[in-house]
Amino acid sequence: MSIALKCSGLAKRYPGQRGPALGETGNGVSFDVDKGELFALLGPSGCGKTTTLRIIGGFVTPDKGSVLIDDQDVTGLPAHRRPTNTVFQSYALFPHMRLGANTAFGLEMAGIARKERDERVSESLQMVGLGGMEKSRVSELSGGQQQRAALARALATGPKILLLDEPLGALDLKLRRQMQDEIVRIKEQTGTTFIHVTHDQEEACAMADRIAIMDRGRIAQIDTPEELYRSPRTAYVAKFINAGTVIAGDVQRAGSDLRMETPDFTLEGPAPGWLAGMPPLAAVLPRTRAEIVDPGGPLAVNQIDGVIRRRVFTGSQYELQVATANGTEIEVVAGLDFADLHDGNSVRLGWRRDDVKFVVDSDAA
Amino acid sequence: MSVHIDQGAGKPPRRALNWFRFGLDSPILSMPAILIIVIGVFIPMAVLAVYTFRPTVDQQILPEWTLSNYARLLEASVYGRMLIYSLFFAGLAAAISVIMTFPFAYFVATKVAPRRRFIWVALAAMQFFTSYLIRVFVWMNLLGDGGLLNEFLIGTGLISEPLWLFGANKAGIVITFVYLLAPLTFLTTYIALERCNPVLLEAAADMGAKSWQRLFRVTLPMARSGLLGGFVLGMIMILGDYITPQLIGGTEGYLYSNIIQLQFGSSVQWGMGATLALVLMVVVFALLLALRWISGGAPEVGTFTRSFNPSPAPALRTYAILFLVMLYLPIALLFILAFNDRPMIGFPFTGFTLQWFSAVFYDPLLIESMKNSLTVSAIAVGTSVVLGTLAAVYLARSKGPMRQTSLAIISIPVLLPPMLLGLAIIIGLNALGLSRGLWTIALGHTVLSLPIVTLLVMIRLEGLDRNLEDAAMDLGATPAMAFLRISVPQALPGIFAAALITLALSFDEFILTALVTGSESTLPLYIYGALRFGVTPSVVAVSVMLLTASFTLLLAGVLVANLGQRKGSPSAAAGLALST
Repeated sequence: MSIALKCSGLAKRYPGQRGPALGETGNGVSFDVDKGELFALLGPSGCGKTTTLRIIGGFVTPDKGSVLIDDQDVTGLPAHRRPTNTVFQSYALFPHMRLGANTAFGLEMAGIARKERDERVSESLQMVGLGGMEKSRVSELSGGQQQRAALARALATGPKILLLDEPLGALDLKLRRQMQDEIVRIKEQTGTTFIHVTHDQEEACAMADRIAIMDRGRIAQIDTPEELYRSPRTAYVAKFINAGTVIAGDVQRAGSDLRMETPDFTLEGPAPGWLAGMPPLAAVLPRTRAEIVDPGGPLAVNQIDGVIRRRVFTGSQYELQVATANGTEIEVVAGLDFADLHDGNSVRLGWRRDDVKFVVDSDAA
Repeated sequence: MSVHIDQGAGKPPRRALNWFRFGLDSPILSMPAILIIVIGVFIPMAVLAVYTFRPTVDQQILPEWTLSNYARLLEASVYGRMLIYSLFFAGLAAAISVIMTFPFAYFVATKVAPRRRFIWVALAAMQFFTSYLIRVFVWMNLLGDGGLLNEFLIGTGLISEPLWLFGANKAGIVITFVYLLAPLTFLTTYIALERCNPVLLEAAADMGAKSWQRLFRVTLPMARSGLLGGFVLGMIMILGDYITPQLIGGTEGYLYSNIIQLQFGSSVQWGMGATLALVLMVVVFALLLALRWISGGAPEVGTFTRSFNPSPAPALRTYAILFLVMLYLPIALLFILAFNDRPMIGFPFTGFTLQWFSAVFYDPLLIESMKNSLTVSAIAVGTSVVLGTLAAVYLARSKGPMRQTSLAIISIPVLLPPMLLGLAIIIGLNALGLSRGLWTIALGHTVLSLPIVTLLVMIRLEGLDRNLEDAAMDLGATPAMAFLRISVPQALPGIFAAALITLALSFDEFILTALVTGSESTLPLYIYGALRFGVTPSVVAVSVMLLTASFTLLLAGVLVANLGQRKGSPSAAAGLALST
């Protein structure tokens, strides 16, 4: 696989900006995106994901670092000279132009002759399911159609990289699901590289080949969605993707294992392969991997006794909020067979050794 | 899909616009506008300040330094008394206007369905931009000694002697000013009220506030900056008006502004006049600062809301309708009189005729005046639309102190009474030894129009989604191309509206024009001359034509400004003069 986009050491502070700026800690924001990949930048608002996207698109000049597209340095190039197109959060469809003219705009700017332009516009609209609607006014389109129109316009010139800035934020849940599948299909069909900015971890997981989770101006972890859930590296990542309950405490090495002892329970699990030295660590108890048994008898390692504080029915399962004697709160998921568990019941939770994950305690670090 | 267009590095931008070398956020764009304001306002004002230290001997300003003007100002108590009297007078008229306008503005802002508000606002506000002089003239005809009101009352036998509404007790001047200020105070109040979220009133009611408590504890405090703004701007307008008191009250109606004007007229006391004008300017700035200080602490109460309370309010509705009738009745009378074939102005209506209109075209002075008005307007509107739009492009897309300063400089003519601008310009010309002419009128009108164009276009540009330009550039358009293809088409209604509104303004302008003209006459000057030497039905006909022209221009302007602009407020177009 060849690399379509290479960002190295990006940093940007806006004049008068308060709080953490992009890429100020460490060596700046760096990542590579493969050709044809759908790469998501995921994080809460203010984490720097949109700034990163705008740097790639050429709307923001970074203070430091470089952007390479197909091995060409485009850092100093303005937006109109870059082989990237953006699907804006607000769609930014030109209200004084019809759908056809909107879609043709990029082709027109590139000096494509009218006949070829019309063909490509029609092809592009066809692809997003708006075939034959060239004459429609932008204001007549529904929210979902505007979304598709923005996509068609951005794809019409055949950009090397398509940037999507929270493209589904304005749609309702059902439409959002549908568009997620559409976008993935269109990516497969065109073979274009997609960079997708979102704050919705479910959306990122559903669509992306790889996800970069961003935290206060830096990248916390880059991995496939499965790998992020399976082995988050920091407490921040574990919490953001809701992988499980993060428990801070004193972690010791025990051979090739790591071990955390608290007055209530003892946790043990394998030390992750990437771990070097002993930074402050925390344990993650995956919410979906807990075994629920009746309390009684001696407490084994990786077992925790507690009382159900609240049981939430979510339709397909139960979420149990369990508190230990010393007040540690743990959230686990239970199947529908646990219908007879109620608030106030005592339970014993257990995890397999391999399921107990240790992560860098990013809050303490 | 196998489309691949190389937009990549090294490709020269197609159709490069070489004349557009600097960015759209470059302060250079606002420089021409600022230059005009500096030449038309700042330099003349500085000269005016210098003139206050110059003695006037035998109608000549001498190049010596003296404090004699200030000494005279302090010695002769007449100036101080006159200033205090005028302030009181202006305050009274402005206060009455604000109070009388409030129920109307409240009705429009809270009881009229949002999509119908526009027409109410347009009807009430449009008058503000039509001929000041003609509106004064209408009241002269209505309330004057031999005016229609007296004629009517005597005719019906209700009174035997004419009511002296004009003259000693000055009631006529107050009434006239209340009428003249109504559109202005309406606009400020309405804008403030429209920003108030009606949910706040519901919240107050929910917590047990009665309707009068809601009015005094919620509505009025929230609208206070608008009410005070109308009051202060109204006072400033009165303080800078030297025609109304004189036309309606004669010498007995004189206010401070008339005293200033006299220094530049028959008595030719330029040094003293400059001193008195400077005092007025200080007063105006003190008023503006006070306004800023008082309303500066007012909390930002949300943005424009389009929600409203549809509960019926028959009393308010009646008041609102009467209010509009009062605004338009005098103008309607004027139209009727213009078609009456009685050779004397007034009633009864003896027959329909167009002869007064045709007579107009046999008056060579009138034809000349019309030509002059057209020339001046074309120059002023053309210049201010081009320079104002350029400045607006910069202002709409930048932040920071540089932008604030530029905006403040360009806005200054809106805040200063035109009388002071006019005086400053003639003093500046005098100092340079230049003679007045049509070009001085054109300069004055350009100075007055520039801020209006700039603010209108800026509001329009700021209302655009900035992502649209980004999107265009993202799709390969150069910055200049993105601006021309995306922003200009969308800002065009704003630019066009600004052109129409300033055209109406320039065509009607009298206060500044009368000061800075040489021997040339414009339409308002012609009407003024006719008013002083006996009103003929022909003057009524000219007035009707001028009013029709400006109403058409304004209506077209406001309609165009609202074209395709769904969000925002109907007042956005009309409230331009008030963005202090």
